[in-house]
Amino acid sequence: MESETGRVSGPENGLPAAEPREGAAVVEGAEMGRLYLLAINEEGFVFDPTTGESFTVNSTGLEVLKGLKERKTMEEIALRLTELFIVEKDEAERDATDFVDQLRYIKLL
Amino acid sequence: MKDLIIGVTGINAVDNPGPGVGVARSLREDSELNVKVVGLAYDAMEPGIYLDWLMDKSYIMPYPSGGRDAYMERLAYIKSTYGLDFVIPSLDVELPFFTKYGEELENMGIKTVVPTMEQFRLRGKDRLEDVAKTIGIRIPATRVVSSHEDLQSALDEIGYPVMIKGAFYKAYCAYTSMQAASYYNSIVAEWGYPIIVQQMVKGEELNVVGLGDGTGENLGMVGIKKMGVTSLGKIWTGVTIRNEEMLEAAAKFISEYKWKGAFELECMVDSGEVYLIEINPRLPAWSFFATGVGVNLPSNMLRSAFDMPIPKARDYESGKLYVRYTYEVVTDMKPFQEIVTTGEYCHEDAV
Repeated sequence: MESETGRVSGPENGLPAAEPREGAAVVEGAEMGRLYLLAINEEGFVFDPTTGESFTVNSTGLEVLKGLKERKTMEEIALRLTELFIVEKDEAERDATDFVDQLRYIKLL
Repeated sequence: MKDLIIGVTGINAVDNPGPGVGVARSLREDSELNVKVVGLAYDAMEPGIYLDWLMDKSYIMPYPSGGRDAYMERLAYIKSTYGLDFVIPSLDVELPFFTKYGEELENMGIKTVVPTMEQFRLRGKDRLEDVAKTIGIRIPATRVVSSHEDLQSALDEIGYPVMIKGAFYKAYCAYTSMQAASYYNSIVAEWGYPIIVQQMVKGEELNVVGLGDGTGENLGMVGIKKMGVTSLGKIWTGVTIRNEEMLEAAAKFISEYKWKGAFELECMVDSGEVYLIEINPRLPAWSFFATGVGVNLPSNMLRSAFDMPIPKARDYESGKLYVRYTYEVVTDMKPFQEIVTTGEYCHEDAV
């Protein structure tokens, strides 16, 4: 869904927040973070409505963010990356973990 | 209902803009209001005077610092010659006059919605810690000092870099004790005591503009982040945000202090933590941003003063962008000549 600004979409623009799936071991801290409020568009533009900060992510980052918002496990996210890109599961897991560490560093998780 | 005639100050839309032009524009945006807008300027070069789509008439005012009588006489003159039902003062220096003589103005038939004197004093940076505690928001480590000895112990405690601030005006960042002492002396010489020594908070600037009706009711608020500022630190690009911590603090500011009038809370966010930096007891220069996202504070202010219904929907969407730009007006010499020679200019007469 696109807002009138034409760039961002997210819960505050009408999309429902993702519900946690029963039994899923989500990324530690993710349930409490600002991550679930982020407005993300399909081009990888990310807007944090809490602080007003915006940034862009590449297609790998975008998939990881989407996975986290859908409360997928790291394994599920890595598996999805192997479906989308030419990458081994181990490497995909490392990339996803590095990205999650960056999200923690900027306190989005 | 007859047209209401609204006086708006701060129409100096220059590089350090006053809020008045945005206020006038907000009043024009409310199609249910029948208003005439009178620009109250302090200089013939204030651009607002020349914006005929916003102002019906403009007057040159004496400086409020020049004393009660001249200012009051000028308002009485405007009231008797053109009409004046309401004034929205938007400069800090005007607020003591409108606060102090609000009742007298009301008796003259000129209404205002401004903070009480006690509320007005809350803007002092020496009161910031108390206010922050009351409304549940952090402030940077702060010490209020009135001697070099106290300054030195505050510096030892807080460390560097450190902000050295006057209670109301001026703020400098110091990296050494010598620098801090020099800024201390310069602020004391210009503005007097006390001096505020404050931990330097790095991060992004967040602001919230709000309006209280004086009974604790919130008549609207909008939170923003400044994305781009000028060399004078004035917003040029911004975005609406929903920082719940900041919005809750602003709502509490209205309810706890029964704040009457507009206000702006200036905050910094560092690693997700929000710190209150400053309180401005008036509309900020960017207040049209709030109008643009559906929260028309000047209109709500006017409506509250005249017991007109105030729109219930006062929410806004985050992620709305504000972009300032420059604009030019080309006109005849006539308005300039008249404002210089007679102190007033009426756009209606020019039609």
